[in-house]
Amino acid sequence: MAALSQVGPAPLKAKRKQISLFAIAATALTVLLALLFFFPLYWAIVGSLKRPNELQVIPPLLYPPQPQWSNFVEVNKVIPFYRYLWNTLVITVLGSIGGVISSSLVGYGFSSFRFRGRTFLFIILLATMVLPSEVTLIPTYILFINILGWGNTINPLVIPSFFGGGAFSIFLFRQFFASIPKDLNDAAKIDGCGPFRYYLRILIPLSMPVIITLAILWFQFYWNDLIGPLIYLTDQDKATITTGLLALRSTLGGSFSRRGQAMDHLLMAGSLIGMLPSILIFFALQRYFIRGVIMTGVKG
Amino acid sequence: MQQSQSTPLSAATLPRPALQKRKQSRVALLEELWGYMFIMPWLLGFLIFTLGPMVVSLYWSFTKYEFPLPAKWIGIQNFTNAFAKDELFPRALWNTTYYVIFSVPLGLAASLCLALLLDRKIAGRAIWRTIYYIPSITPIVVSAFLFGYLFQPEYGLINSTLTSIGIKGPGWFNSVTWVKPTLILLALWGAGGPTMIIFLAGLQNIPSELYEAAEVDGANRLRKFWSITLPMLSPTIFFNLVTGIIAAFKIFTAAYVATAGGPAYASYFYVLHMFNTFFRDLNMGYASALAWLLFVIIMLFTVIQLRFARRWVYYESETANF
Repeated sequence: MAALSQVGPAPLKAKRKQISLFAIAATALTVLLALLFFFPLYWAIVGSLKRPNELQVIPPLLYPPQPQWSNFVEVNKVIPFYRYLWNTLVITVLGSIGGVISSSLVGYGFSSFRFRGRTFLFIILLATMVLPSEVTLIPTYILFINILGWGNTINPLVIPSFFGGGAFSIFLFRQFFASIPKDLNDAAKIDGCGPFRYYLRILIPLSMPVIITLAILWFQFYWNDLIGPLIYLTDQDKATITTGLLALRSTLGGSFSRRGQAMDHLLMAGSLIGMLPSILIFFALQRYFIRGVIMTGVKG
Repeated sequence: MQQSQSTPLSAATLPRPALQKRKQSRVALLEELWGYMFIMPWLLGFLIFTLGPMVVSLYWSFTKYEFPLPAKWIGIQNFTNAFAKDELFPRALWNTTYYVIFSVPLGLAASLCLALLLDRKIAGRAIWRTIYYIPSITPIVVSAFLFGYLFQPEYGLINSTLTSIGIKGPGWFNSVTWVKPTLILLALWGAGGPTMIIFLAGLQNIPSELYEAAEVDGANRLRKFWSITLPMLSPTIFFNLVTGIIAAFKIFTAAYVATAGGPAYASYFYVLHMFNTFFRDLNMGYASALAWLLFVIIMLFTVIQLRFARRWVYYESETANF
């Protein structure tokens, strides 16, 4: 006993020192990796402020010698870039609204009413999550372009979201609505509140966090979507940010696979504009981003 | 209860249970109608945008359908052609498999490392998490551009830095051997995104008592990681693995933007092949067959993983009894 208490403190001290060394190393690594992860963005900012030919200088300039803020105006002269930003915004907002409205309605239907085939239909709904969108791509393309004549309209991108808004969104709403105490519904019923008013006046205000979380996920989907605009919006005036950036690249003539042309700094400026809304929303609503991601994880 | 007084006259002659049953069934019917009304958007959407197209594309996959010529039934010829005649199919399949095999485990390891770094008492954790996360919200078109410049063989920052220390850098996106690793690096840049957050949530769910108990037993850091963290995290790893593999099989945008499948088809991935068959060649029959094959491949991988999951995924509920 006595021997033990004598040796006790010494190793403990040694251990504490070891921990702090480990902690220093880990913290250093955290910071180093943060720099590494941030660097491409720094490079985009620097690139977007450079002058013609400055992107091709060897060795590369680590900062813009004379920041050209006018690049963000110049880029719009090459190609109507800010119109593409607007086009993307319209699609994103309409698609997200459609998704919120329809998936909340369907989620309410699945959570609060008993009807024949409910379980069966819900299983089908969940099963559609594993179906790759590639499988339905071609027939829906023919349907939208040849049968409905929706080529070069935003309809093919926006209208489907009004029909359910995706299995995952419905699932989230259903789970959320199912967690609301039934007493609330009963009390509302006694007060003469019909199902639709209950949904509009009580459920929707309660589910604001879910709505914001899903709106962010939809925003990301629409903002980053390439394949949709690529096949449905072939008219260049209708382009979105993603197809617009591709058009900008070919207009500038500088595919980076070959020796780039002198105007590539404008492509960087365009890229920065294209990602800015995502980053702003991320900073404003970070909590909901994280929440949404964890929800997708919990599902599995 | 009060409403039952105002039942129709004929109802009074009915025995009581039957009356109740009928009233109940009317309420139930109304509820059923409401239910169907609310799920109608999805039900219609499912029929029009999912089930219908599924049936149609399955049919087309057995036809020779070169748009705008009408579809003609050819049996399984599209599927046999994929393996016997189409030289690009095995190549696209191989490229994609290569990409999946390397990008998914490396991506999971990177995400887990980042999560472990953030799962400590560290100053400014929210800032680091934000910085790690941002690459994943960058549109892939943009990140493909950025990497194109950083990895530009002649004047790109990476190669000029390598040159300055006397190393001749590879051609990255321009090199047949390096193009896939470069695309994997591009994917790794997003390792601090959703996958990391899910890992972080998983790590924070591990009860600290387990670590405390292990410390009492004298377990060192590595031992704790191996015997507590990894097993407790295995369901999370499994989830990220399954979703990661599915996403990696569907790689399209990064390759479409950065390389368009080149050089010499070295980054020609499966969905790229399907997309070209569909949108450039308008060969709808064969493209439909390719889409269904992709579905089968993805399902196959998922089922195999579910089979093996029993061996390594630890679910607490199974052992909760002791």
